[in-house]
Amino acid sequence: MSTVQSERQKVFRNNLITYALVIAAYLCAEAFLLSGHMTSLMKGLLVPLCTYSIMAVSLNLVVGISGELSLGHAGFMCVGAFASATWSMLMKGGSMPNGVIFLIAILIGASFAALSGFLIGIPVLRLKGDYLAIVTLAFGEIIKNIINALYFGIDENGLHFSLKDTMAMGLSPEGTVIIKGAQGITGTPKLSTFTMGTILLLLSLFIVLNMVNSRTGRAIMAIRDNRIAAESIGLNPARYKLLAFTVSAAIAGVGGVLYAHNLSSLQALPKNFGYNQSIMILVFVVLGGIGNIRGSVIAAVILTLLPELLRFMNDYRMLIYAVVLILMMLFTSAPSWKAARESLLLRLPFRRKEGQENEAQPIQESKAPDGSAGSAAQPETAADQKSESEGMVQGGNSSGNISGNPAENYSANTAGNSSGNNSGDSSGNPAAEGRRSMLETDALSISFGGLKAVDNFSVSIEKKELYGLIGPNGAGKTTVFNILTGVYKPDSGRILLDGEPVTALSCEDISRKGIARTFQNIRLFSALSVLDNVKAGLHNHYVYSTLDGILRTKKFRRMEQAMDRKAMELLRVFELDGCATWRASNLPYGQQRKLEIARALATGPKLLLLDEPAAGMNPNETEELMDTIRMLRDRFDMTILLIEHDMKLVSGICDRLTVLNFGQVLKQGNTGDVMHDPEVVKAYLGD
Amino acid sequence: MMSFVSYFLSGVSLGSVYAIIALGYTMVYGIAKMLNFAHGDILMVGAYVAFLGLNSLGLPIPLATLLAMVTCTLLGIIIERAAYKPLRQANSLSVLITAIGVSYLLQNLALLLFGANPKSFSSFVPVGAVRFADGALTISGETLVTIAACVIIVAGLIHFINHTKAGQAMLAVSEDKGAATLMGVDVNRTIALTFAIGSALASIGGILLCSAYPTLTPTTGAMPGIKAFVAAVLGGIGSIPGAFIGGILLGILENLSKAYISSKLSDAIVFSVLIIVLLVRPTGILGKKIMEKV
Repeated sequence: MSTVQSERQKVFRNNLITYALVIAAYLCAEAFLLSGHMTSLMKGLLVPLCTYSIMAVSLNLVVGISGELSLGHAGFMCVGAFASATWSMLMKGGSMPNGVIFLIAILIGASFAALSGFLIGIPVLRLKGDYLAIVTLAFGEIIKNIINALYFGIDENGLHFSLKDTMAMGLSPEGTVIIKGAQGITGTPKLSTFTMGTILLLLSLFIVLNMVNSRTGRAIMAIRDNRIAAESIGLNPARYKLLAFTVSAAIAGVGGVLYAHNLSSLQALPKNFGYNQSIMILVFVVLGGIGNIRGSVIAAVILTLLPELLRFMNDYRMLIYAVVLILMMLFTSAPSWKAARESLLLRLPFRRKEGQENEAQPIQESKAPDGSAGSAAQPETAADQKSESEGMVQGGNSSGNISGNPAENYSANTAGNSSGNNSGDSSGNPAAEGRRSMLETDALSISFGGLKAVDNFSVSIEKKELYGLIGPNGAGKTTVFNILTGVYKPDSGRILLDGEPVTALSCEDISRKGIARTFQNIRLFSALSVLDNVKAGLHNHYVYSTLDGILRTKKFRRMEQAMDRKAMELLRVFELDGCATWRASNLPYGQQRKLEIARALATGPKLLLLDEPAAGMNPNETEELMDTIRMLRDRFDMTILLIEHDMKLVSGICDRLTVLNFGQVLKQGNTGDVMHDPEVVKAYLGD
Repeated sequence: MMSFVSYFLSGVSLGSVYAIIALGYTMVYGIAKMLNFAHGDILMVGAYVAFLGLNSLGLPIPLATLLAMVTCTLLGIIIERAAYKPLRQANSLSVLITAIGVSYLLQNLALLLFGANPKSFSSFVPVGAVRFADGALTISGETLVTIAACVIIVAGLIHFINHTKAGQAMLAVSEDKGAATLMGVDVNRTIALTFAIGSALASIGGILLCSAYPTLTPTTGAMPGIKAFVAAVLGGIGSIPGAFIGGILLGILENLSKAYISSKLSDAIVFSVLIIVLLVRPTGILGKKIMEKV
């Protein structure tokens, strides 16, 4: 647990450094201002620096954390700017104090931008990659275009607007025009100050950093790393992507408020709200390091200052800017240039360490990249284990969510959806008659364009049974898994899980009902730590709101601690606790498979589907895996359905088998009988 | 009625320019899986070179056009070699940003060399306007030539891809770089060839665009570049017939909405249609459906 704690402290420290940097920069600038050493040019840049930093933080949430490319963030900035400036114009000259006007302006700007983010996000986030990028770009242009054609005014009869011209609004002579088409808004009160900008930047950082390091952020990043795996553990991609997008839009709206109240006239021009601006912000994010919030703020500051600092070069400055941009990209991203840079740094011994530090990821890179790492860590682990379980019992009392006796029975307790599979031999459900099926499928069929991939698949698997699904390549085994877990909807047929119908539910709902799976080709959340992979699996059992996460409430701390304990407990089962802080992608292959199982177990399933768990393993590893699978059944009371080609494993642990061939059930029955069936042998070996 | 036909045809003509530029976008995307944001600026360079060839060097129109094409071809190859090739293994965002850097570079170089004042581009189209129905319908020579050029280019390109070895190599590389290498395809050369063709087409697009809309500035390429990108996506990025259809549709839509709905809101309308099309067909009109294997 100490590693986990130190990891959490590291994140905390990192965040503090970010805040401290911003505050230090603010104090420096203030000192220069007060001592009168700041040029008027620099003074004029202070608020824009805050604005662009906020924009960079906002976009990094979408691009870095959520993994979606948005080229229309200036559009949200534009919405925030115009909505808030309109408000301030309406209030101008009234009795409301400026401070209050500005505060409400911020709220209005953020809400309008969030609303547009939400509305555009619902349809648009279904698209992927470059298509999403082009639609966000289109959206940004639409906003700019509409605002350029918008006329808005007020008179004693209320608000008027038109998309044609001033006359068409039908204002009375006493009325005032607020938005005047392409001329925009003139006379916005200058309420933005450097101090206000810094506070808003700190606030944006606070929201984003805390959100990223919480249950919500973990879900968003899990979905980014592997959407299908995320769905399989019960996360809803649409919901979390939309959340990230909306929060990001709101923050961009705040950037817009700051921008609008820094200038006396506001127009929607290509250079301030067009795609060029969106791309500029993207440049901050990419150069600062995708997903690195602090980096994007630093990049925003440097790149906003750079053209101004180059001003003495007059005509050449934008040219130099472009060249610097290309060179920076090559230096940071091109493999050959990186190598050149490394060798250059090696020649400067005192600089070497610095270079390495820059490379360091928020998640600890592998300490030992080779496969021996796991076993080497073991002795230490065993010692840890003892003190751990003591700590856990105490913790269990406080959280109330963890059983006091973790080793014996803990599969059911977290699930919260299980009635009566606490112990294997006596079913706690009074309605059940002795042995009841955990999984029952009735005539499942699915076809893809005329090909019957699965045809009339019926199976009944009992509680605590180890059931094998075998068959030649292309027989439809994985397709069965995909139907069971909701990736595909069957054309016909029924699925009952523990007596409850789960046919054609969404992946998310099926996960909640209690089916978990692993994948043939490993699908981990590769950029998350080993621990976070398992904690993502616990997502639906330790619930606290996004707001709890941002505000770091007591509930957040309690839940996170309980999650850490539970996740470490699971990792210990698979002897992965020693590398809990590693990046999942740095684990050796065999341990990645184990981690996948641990993550599946974290969802508290009743039924576990393993898709070729022994693929790519040598005989020793397979032997070990067989022990692990038996242990899962005995210790977690798990019902397991597995696909496997390794006949030694199948005959060694499966109670019963189903053989699939060309989508149809060829044979079903006890393992021994089925394996020696002449038809089965023929299907595998040919005539 | 006649005015509708005239708006429609000039829409087709504008769309043809978009289509010619979009071809470059779509080919480069298909093969290098990158959005070449500098493509619009290559168009601008082509137009400047043609302008200088005609007005300063006094070259005849075909030679000036050829000069522009050769310059852009070289420029395309150089940009690919210097800026994009080192990043081929890097993540796609890094390449995107680099392309943006190249775009700024070209714009600012042009600004430095040619100044910010717009050049008035004299038409490269020697064909006069054609009148129909007693002068009620006039079709400019530019319109006719642009449409014809576009059809010829698209037909030629489809033939090139499907019936030549180099074209087949392009298909192979766009499908799977690794497998193409194993089959003996020179991937670097194929990618360079794609950039060369795309850039040459961009120069033609630039000349035709400026013949119809004769103001030439360092940012001339920016908006048509974006529109062509939209056209490529609308048609299904990576598909050559898609770029053609997308371009023509976009041009017609833009011109008709300018004429009949609102000249101010035409961009908003064009982009809204794009969004709607993508929501109905998430990979564009002719785009392939991609399914992730679980």
